[in-house]
Amino acid sequence: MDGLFTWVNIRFLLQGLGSTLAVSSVAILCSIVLGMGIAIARTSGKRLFSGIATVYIEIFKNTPLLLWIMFTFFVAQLPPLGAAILAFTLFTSASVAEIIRGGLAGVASGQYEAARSQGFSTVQLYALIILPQALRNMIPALLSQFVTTIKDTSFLWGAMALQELMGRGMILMNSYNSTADIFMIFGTMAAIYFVVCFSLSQVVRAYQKRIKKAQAK
Amino acid sequence: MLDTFAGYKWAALFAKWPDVLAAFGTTVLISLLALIIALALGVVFGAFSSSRSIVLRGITRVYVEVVQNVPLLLQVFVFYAIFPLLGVSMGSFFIGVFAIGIYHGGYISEVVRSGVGSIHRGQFEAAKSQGFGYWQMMFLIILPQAMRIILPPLAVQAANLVKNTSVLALIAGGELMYFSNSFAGSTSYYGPVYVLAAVLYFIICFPLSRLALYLERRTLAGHNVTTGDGKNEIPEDSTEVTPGTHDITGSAAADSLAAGVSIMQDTSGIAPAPAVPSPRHPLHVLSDPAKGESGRGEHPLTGNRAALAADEFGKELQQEQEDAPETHHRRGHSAKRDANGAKPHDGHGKGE
Repeated sequence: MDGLFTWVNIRFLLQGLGSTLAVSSVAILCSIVLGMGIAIARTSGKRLFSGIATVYIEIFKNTPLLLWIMFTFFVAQLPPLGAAILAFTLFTSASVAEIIRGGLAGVASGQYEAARSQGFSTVQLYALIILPQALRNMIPALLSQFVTTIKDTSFLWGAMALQELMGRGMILMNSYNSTADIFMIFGTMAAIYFVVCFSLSQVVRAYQKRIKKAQAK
Repeated sequence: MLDTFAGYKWAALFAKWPDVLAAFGTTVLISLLALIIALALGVVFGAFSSSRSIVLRGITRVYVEVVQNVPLLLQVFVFYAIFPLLGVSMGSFFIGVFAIGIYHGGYISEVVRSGVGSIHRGQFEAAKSQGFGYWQMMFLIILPQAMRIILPPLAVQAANLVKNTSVLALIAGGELMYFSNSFAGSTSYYGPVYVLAAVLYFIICFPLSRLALYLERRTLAGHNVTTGDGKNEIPEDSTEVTPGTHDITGSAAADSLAAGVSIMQDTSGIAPAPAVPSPRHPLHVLSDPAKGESGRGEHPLTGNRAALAADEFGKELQQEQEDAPETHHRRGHSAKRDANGAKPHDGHGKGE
């Protein structure tokens, strides 16, 4: 067990955590952009747009993420990082679209009417009036989605040998032989995931309580 | 790019139809067995989390938080890579059944907890006053009534479980995803097999999520859902919810899970927004509820709101249970000698 928790090893794992967080952050940001488009299409009232949005959401809601990772990596032949981000974006944007749809529906319809009556265009209406209000309500849900995404990036090592936290942990485990060492490394890796995800969940919970309190007033 | 989906590649895939069928069957079988384990764990731990014992509640909390905040793949690897070091090894089929069963057991226990929390406390009191034991009360009185709250998010969990069996591909699980990978790897015909896998997963998951939607709508149609008996038991302000909120762990997870249908993956519960505008908007008087959002938004009590009300009751119930020993003591002097140990009723008798 000596020399297991050296700076080199710890840094190695933390770099893995870095790529995990980087991939999931980029993916979630892209998903928000794409999801916003899908949500607006879904609520647009135009048959064609809302039909396409519904089909998109149903497809990605009812198929596994791993399949899309394989798809972008093997079928679309993208480089690992691009494939990872594309797969996560496609998959997560379906969830995010539903979150945003919920958020948009939560904005009082008076807000739409008021903005229209003041002569705002549709783009202005959403960008300046509706989305800022909706966003406040969506933040907890989006953060939870972020946690889910962080957890799911653990597929990337197995699927395309991308060295995120799980991958780094596996590489480290392979370079030690004793059971105790492997046990410790695995435990550390799991603990890092837990700490990151659990603290984010606590943030979500605290934020939700605050919103609830604010609404009770 | 075009010949990614060339005809001969499809032919090669369909020539292997018995293997496809076997892999599909394995996915279904693993899902079913894992679902049984998840249900068993979910009911037991869900009942634990509404019990009086702080130890049982603590155990449940730890179980749920660990299972929900550590990636599923890591949990699978505990069985796959760590247990063998301790001398326990099992085939990837049973690893799948147990790991995924335990994982979703954590989620289902939160669903059950929120369902139990939705039952009017009069039901608990009535059951106890009739001399039911804790588990008898749970299985005979409470859970059957909580079913309507529990079922919609349960169907969502079932769909998620099926999707999550794909993780087993990474430990050579022999199921659909693994077959797809190995077929793609061995023939380098990547296109068709993943499309077919997507279709097959969709065939299982789509009906489940439709079922969830149907169940939720049916539940919402019956108004006496949340309290189990009363129609207008929920004060309006306690059901005011932020639309689209959810949580990945803890009490709010139950809210979002009970919001159910819109949960896409693991924990992302996306509740439809209530059409009733927030009282904080000065302009809310302008809005016309009849013109509100289409679909589920029209319901007076949408999933998230119902769930919040449910949680409200759960908390109340828990509070009451915490207070119970004292009050029981105080009452005890007069009531203890009552025949059959029946407790005196308080104002909630109307709940029967």
